[in-house]
Amino acid sequence: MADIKYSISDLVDDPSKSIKVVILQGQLDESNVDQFAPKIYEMIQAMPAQTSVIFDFQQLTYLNSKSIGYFADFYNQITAKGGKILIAKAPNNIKDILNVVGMDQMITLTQTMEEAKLMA
Amino acid sequence: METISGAINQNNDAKPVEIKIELPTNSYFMSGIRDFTLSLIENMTDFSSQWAYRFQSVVDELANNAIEHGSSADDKILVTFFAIPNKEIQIIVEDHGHPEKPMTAEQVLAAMEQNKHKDKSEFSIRGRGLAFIVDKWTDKLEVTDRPNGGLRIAVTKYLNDKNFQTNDRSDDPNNIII
Repeated sequence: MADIKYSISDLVDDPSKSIKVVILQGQLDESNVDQFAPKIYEMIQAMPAQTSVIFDFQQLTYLNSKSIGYFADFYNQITAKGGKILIAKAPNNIKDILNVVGMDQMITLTQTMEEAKLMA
Repeated sequence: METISGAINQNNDAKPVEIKIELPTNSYFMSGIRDFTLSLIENMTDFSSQWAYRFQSVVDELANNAIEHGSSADDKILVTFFAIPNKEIQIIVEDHGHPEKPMTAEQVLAAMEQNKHKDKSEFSIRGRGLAFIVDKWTDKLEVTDRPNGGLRIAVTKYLNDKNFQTNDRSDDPNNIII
């Protein structure tokens, strides 16, 4: 089974914005994504309206199509609450797969966390 | 579909390489198959790392599809890696068919075609693997019904002779030397 570790925190740099940061480490695939996704749904449900979510992918090494499907659904739910969703620091292979399924047209990808904070 | 270039090695007379792996229908084992695919591509070929990762995803998507839609629990699927030097790499995934919801080759191809033309907003969690990842990162995709049930999905990546002469391990995804 693939390992995935995640942490969720509130970004307190800018008190004018409500931003959650989700840091992922490991691989998201068929064996673990159904256990991971509910944690994000819980977070989305509990967060106030207009909250943006930045996913830090720097340490994510694999993402399969079903996981991408969940991120598309996170996009729908977060934007429905008036927030933004951003992916920061994705490695090239992850950017490549997001690109081939067209997800980069839906979710903004940034090179750095600073860029993501500014856009959130 | 993109074209890649290369050969299995620099010996034009090299024999085809075939590796078969039988997998239990449990996604628990998929990270191992991905590691194997990456290692195989990196050690046996001069693929750029970008294409090694792409093949890793192609194998993962095909195998997961066979496990979810083409098999029962406690069944097995067969993954075959077949490389013809200087010519092509083929990945074949065979399943025994889902006992309750068997799909025919025609149905799989129709679903793929439908997914290719869907608006991004129309997708559920599923549907992107074969329609985008497998289709766009391979040159030929054949789905056939197996005689005793189940499907055989074979994907092929052709190697471009033009760039075969070079041994440049470029990051250009269109310049891959196997």
